[in-house]
Amino acid sequence: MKFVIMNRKDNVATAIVPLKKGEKVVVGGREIILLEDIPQGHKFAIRDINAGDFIIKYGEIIGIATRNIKAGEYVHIHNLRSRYQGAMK
Amino acid sequence: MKLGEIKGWRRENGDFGIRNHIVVLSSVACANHAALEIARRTGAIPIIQEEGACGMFGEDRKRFLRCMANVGSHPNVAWTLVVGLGCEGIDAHQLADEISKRGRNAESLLIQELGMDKTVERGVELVNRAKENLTPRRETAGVEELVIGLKCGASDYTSGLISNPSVGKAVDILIEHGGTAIITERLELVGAEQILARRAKSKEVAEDFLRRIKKAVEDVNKRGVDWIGSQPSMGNIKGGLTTIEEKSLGAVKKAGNAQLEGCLDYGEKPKGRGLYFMDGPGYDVKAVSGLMCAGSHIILFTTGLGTYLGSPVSPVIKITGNPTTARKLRDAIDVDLSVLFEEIISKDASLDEILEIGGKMILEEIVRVANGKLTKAEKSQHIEFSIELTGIIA
Repeated sequence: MKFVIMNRKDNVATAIVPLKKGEKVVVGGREIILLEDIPQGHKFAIRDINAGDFIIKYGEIIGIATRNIKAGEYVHIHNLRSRYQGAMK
Repeated sequence: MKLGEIKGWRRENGDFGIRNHIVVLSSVACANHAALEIARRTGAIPIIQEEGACGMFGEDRKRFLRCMANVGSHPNVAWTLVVGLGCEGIDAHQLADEISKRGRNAESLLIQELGMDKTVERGVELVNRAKENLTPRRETAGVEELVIGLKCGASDYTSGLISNPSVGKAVDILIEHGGTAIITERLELVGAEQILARRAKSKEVAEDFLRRIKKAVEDVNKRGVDWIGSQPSMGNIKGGLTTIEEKSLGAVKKAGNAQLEGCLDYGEKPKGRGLYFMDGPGYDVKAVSGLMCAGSHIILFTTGLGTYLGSPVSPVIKITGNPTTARKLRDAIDVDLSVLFEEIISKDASLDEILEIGGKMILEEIVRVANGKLTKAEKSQHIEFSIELTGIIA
């Protein structure tokens, strides 16, 4: 395995080895092309996510997408924010 | 799985200890010098204060007294010498009395009564006498006697993937056998609070727990500060974590699937067995110190990027799932779960089966450490200690 999906509800996967842009990964029988390099331990989208949608890992909400994210895109603090971060403002 | 027997010490008050430490407890920073000197000359374990018994009001005064009395009556402690200056708000004699009320032996010295040289001399005599009275490890008990503190620090993606869920597997088995575990780090349950609340023993426990987490969130937000960089920390973010929710959802896995029996104030001992939440901070030293005061026989400390922290009387078992940390910080790590990480990469084995192996490795280490095996932090004599206080220091 090069990546793990913690729960079947998840819309992100965690790379457990460094993954390269252009690399193909198969998720649920569907092929996804990685649109960016994914550092080891970091996440990529396994389906298209709209701005404002919840990002799900462990089957639970880890935050909100701050912009549209395509399947295969890197998901990190540039396009995901905490719900608690929002509550503060 | 069959868990081994533990040999240790049965205390006068019925507690069971897995270490037989003699402690020199400074009650205020003004007495640290004396405590350190007595410890240096005798080999006793010094516990020194950043602040200590002076200038505290209300809740902090109560908290300090509770923590120090719990340290002096900790099951892993054979005997305690409390050393104070004399003019502080809670004096050393009062602390020794509190320890005695908990059914344990303690003596106290005040520097203003004896002068520094005499305090040190007298302290050395008392410690040496206590050392002569130590008995060997001989009483037998089962794992149900154990209270295990749970902590994660310098977390990265391997924490939520491997080490925390492996600890959760170990905790589930331990609790099935009648043992006790304490999870803490209030801010590192933010975003995962419903998972524990759903498992609360009663509606009251769930409400108490949720109220404490809500207060922790409000305390941060009313300061108008940014979560990013603190929770998660920059190290966490570099390690692949993005939000407090993601960090918390990984952290809560340490607690396995057991029922939440109740909430504890900082440094408070559980009143029964099973899983408890202690209302404490995430900062490693203060979290581990709080877990120690709460009577943890052993603290399981999972780490991604690695740390060397120990505790004066509760052996700290370091666990990592990160292969680089396991290699670079070999002198810190007690249980190397990075072998499981390699398994995940090389095989298509189910994650759950792999984590069960991790849980078993951790349980075996708990039994070994309970029977006297020294942890890496014990070998290198790490005795970091600091109490979380909340309010005004005069």
